[in-house]
Amino acid sequence: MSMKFSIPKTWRERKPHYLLEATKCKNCGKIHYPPRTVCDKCGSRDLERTRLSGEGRIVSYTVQYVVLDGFRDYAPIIYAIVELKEGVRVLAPLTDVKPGDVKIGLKVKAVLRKVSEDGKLGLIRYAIKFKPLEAESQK
Amino acid sequence: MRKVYVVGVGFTKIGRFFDKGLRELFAEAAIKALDDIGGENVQALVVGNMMSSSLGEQDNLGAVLADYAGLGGIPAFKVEAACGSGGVAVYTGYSLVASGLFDIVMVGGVEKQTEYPTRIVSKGLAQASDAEYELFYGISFTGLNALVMRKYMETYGISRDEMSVWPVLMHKNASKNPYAQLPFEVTIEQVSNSMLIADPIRLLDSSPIGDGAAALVLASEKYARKLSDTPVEIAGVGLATDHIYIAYRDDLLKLKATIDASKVAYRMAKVEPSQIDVVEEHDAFTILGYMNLEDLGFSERGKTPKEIAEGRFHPGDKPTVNPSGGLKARGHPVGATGVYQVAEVAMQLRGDYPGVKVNGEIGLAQSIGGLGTTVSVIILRR
Ligand SMILES: [Zn+2]
Repeated sequence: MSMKFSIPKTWRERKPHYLLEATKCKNCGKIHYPPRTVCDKCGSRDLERTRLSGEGRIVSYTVQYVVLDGFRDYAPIIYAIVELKEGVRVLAPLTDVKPGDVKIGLKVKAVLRKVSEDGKLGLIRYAIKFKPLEAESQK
Repeated sequence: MRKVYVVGVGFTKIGRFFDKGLRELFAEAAIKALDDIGGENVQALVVGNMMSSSLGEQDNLGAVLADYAGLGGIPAFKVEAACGSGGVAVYTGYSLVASGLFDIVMVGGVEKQTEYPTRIVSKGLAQASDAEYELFYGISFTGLNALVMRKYMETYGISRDEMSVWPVLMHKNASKNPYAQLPFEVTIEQVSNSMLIADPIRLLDSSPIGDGAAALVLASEKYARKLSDTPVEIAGVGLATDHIYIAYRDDLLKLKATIDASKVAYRMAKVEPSQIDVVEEHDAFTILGYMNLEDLGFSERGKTPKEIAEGRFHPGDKPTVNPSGGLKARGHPVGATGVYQVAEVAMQLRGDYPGVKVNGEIGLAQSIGGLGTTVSVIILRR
């Protein structure tokens, strides 16, 4: 069995990756994704965990044709920066959409998907990706 | 703080060298720089390098390179800031001399990429990004820059062909550069129709993968005149960092670290952008070529492609930008690039640069690690 993916690391990051868990500053209210230990806005160390809505709009995107090792099966991969309702931006791949149907401003929502696998018998990484909302919700 | 001068320079041609490893490449550049100061001993070595560890399985690089460049035993260490390692090495070497700890310091940079398959090199380069939240998803460094390029084109309404003037100018400058990796000209049509890597970034928007090494000798005022007839002062240095997760930044269309680092460097050198004669900036991709000029205060946001099409920043203009051909065509031996840039600007000011020449007194070098995560700006004065 391959051990390229660390089990403790995958476990540690599961909530931000599976549930879009962020941190929120109890002092100034800023939300941070990925989660932080110290608020970069006010310096407070008093942070709490919060879950993001997962709904937002595409700020920018790329269709990556030349992909890295371990991602060949998914090529080409569309990556996007999405601004969520909360004002927080997240970078993730898009899923369930063709390159020609993507544009800046498209409404999307987060769904859980497979990202990569450590060989046939090793750990599988899962995380959120974004898929377009239905046509009638695009207004 | 004491004044610091560039008194010696040396570098290799950039390209594909199957017969030379990290040690041989670096020794070649170091020997040239030592010959440039008449063979005087240096007291310490700082080396910029990104991937000796991830690709070459070599850590402890400072000691290895000092030993094989014939400098064995002196204080030596590597500094790493991804593709900006070279600029940070110069910054560190400057600090060692300015502080008074040493009088004569060598700053080197070296990278060895071409003996590994592109997919392995691409992974190594992608480690400049956020391992847990960007690289995790398999996005390449090109992919990250493509997100910025699309936003730029959409925001300012710039067409593909309008973007393509940058690589055309860089290749034209490099065609006169004897040590450039890509010393040939290209057309707008060739750039706009080259292979898509990560839409909208195409092959000819991207800097090539290459090997190279560069070295500088820095000296205090007391030694500068003894070691060189044409010492060039390091008049200002600035270094700044930004969020590694690019989605965390408020504005994708500026690199805050460039703005911050350049403000510090301009203030320290007591100069304005309008006084700069020559610039070597970090155009790893076409989009960065434009944004860097905007962030450094040389042009207005979104207007740079049009200005370049009209002749601004070409040889003969002030500033002349990337007379070497830039990362795009001189080449980008990652951790060495920032050292090449300072060597090139120093040679321009002292009058012995071998390619497109700029007659001037003040020059600027900007080096970027990651997508604006670490930026150094170094201002030189004759
Ligand atoms: Zn706060």
